[in-house]
Amino acid sequence: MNSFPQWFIEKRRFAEKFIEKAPEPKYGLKLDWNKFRLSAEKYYRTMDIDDLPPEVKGSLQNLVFPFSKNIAANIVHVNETLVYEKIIREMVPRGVEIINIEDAIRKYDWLKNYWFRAFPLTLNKLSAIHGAYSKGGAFIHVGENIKVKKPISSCFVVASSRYAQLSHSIVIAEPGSEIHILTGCTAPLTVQGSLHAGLTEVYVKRNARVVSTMIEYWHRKVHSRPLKAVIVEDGGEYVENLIMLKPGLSIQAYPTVILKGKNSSTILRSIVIGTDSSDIDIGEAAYLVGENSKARLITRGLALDSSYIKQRTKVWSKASKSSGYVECSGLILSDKAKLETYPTLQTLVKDTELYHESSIGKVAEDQLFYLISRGFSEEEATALMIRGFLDPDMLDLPEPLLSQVKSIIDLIVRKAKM
Amino acid sequence: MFILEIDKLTTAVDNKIIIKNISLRIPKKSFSVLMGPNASGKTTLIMSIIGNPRYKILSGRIIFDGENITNIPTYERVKKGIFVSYQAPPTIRGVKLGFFLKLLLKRRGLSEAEAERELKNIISFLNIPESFLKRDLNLGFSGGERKRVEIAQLMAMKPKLALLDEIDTGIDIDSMKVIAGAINRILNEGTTVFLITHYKNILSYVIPDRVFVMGNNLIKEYRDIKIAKLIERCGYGCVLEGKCDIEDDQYE
Repeated sequence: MNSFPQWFIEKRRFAEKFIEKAPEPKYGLKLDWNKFRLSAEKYYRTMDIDDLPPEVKGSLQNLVFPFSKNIAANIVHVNETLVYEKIIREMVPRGVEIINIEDAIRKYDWLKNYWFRAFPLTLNKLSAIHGAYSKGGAFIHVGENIKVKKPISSCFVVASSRYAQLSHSIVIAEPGSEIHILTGCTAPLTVQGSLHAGLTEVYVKRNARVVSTMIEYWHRKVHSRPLKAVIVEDGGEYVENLIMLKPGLSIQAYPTVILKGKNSSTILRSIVIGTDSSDIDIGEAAYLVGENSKARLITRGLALDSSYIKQRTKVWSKASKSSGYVECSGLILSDKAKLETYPTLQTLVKDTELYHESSIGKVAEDQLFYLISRGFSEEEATALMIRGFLDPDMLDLPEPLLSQVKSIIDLIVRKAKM
Repeated sequence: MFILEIDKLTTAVDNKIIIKNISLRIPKKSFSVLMGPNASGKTTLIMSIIGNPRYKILSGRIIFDGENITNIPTYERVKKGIFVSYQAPPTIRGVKLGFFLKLLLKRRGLSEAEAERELKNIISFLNIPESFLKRDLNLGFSGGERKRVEIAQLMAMKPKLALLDEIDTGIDIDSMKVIAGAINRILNEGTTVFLITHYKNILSYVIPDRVFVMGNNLIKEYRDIKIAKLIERCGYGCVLEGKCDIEDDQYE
């Protein structure tokens, strides 16, 4: 700790003092933060992904893509340690830096201008705890005009019980650069009563483009609170695909994008599948600040078993000539499941166009019978409709990731009780 | 020799009897037309044959290709070779037309390459633009487009019996010609066609072997398709009540 720069140490002290007076998070299932350890067993670095401990490797296999050959770089964090890193230099040009966040803090004094700038440290108790005690995380820096064609995979595994994984990652895309980051979050089946609360801040500079695809795959005994905030400058574009395949005990996520620059834009898409008795509070927000900024938010929620899904979407505008579109739909497939949508549109100016479409319901009988009368059994027809409703094609994912996501969705839907 | 035999069928929807004691036989590889006033139970008859659970069969039997199918589930009936087209097919969000047609072709046993080729044939025959393949099934399709897409599914599935519910309603003359061409083609391929229609227009392009007229809980069979013209001129009431008949029709 003593080797950290002064600014960092001061920020931590401030956060520590703030925890006491910070409010509880507004959304999501209430958690007792004292129940989680803030540090956990250490894992050691390996040179080969196959040499990772079997329980860690097994959980990564749920996400499939860390083992894909179609990725430009591959980093794996277990608990608070970076355990595996492989960068394929032919695909990742010089000028792209992918390192552990603690190394970056020691190396770059200017990081103080990014640390908790997009995400407010004082938002709530969880962000304050994060500010005081975060450990681990990735620092990804893409130099000016560098375009990384293939996705970079960055995974977080919670491998210890009753532990809070508080990683803090920072992504900076310099002007004109492009990158696609695939984040996977998961845990081995043996882990109980843990919390994943990875915090990510993304800075999209002038005319840069960042695509972030986040896949969460938990089992019944883990809580997840991914925290994310993004600032987009002039002409920049940020695309997010949030794919909640297995939500765990509870999940709350509300990635927030600030379109600060002129002509900046964002597309935020999410697919959420509620299984078991998960408590899911998920949404996304876009703040239109720069003139002519554009936001498109699309969420799809599928409630199975006895899950409870709340879908929140928000577009707020103070930018002239800006536009925001929200499409929020939910499908309930079980009598015990619940699903609610909360779309919000707010504006401080007149020349902005904000609109939303929202729908929730059960599988329409006439549509189901239409498919059955084409020779499909009831299960096959339902699966077709669900696949169609979730519409993974809309995510615009590169292959083989798209096919992998589709097959995982099929598997989950087949296992669920209608 | 009959592909379909309906024997004294009584069907109710929401506890209300819609058709009562209806019997009808359709020979293999024939082309029959069913006409009748609104609410006479034409769609109910077709839905009973396909086994829509909303349509409760209270008594009677449905024999398809010599087999009693009255109590088997819909998808089993479809597997045996029955196809039904809808008056107003629903939109299925996210299920792309191209993906769906290919799925139907592959379930018939075609390989990926064969399915791709056959799909191209079907859509070009039906004048469906290739760009439609990427659209959601029936989403934003016009009346004529929806009906052509119904026929595309029929051609992909190659059934033994096609039950077409008002396939000629709400479409323009171009779509009508395309659909009539498709009906002639599937008849040549050996499919039995049973077409519900309100209009005689389509009968200028396709020539049925027989016309059934349904109403007042009875069904009459005519071998002379001039009956369609007579119905258009004096109405169903007149024909069903036997006030006028084809023999004493002075028309033409």
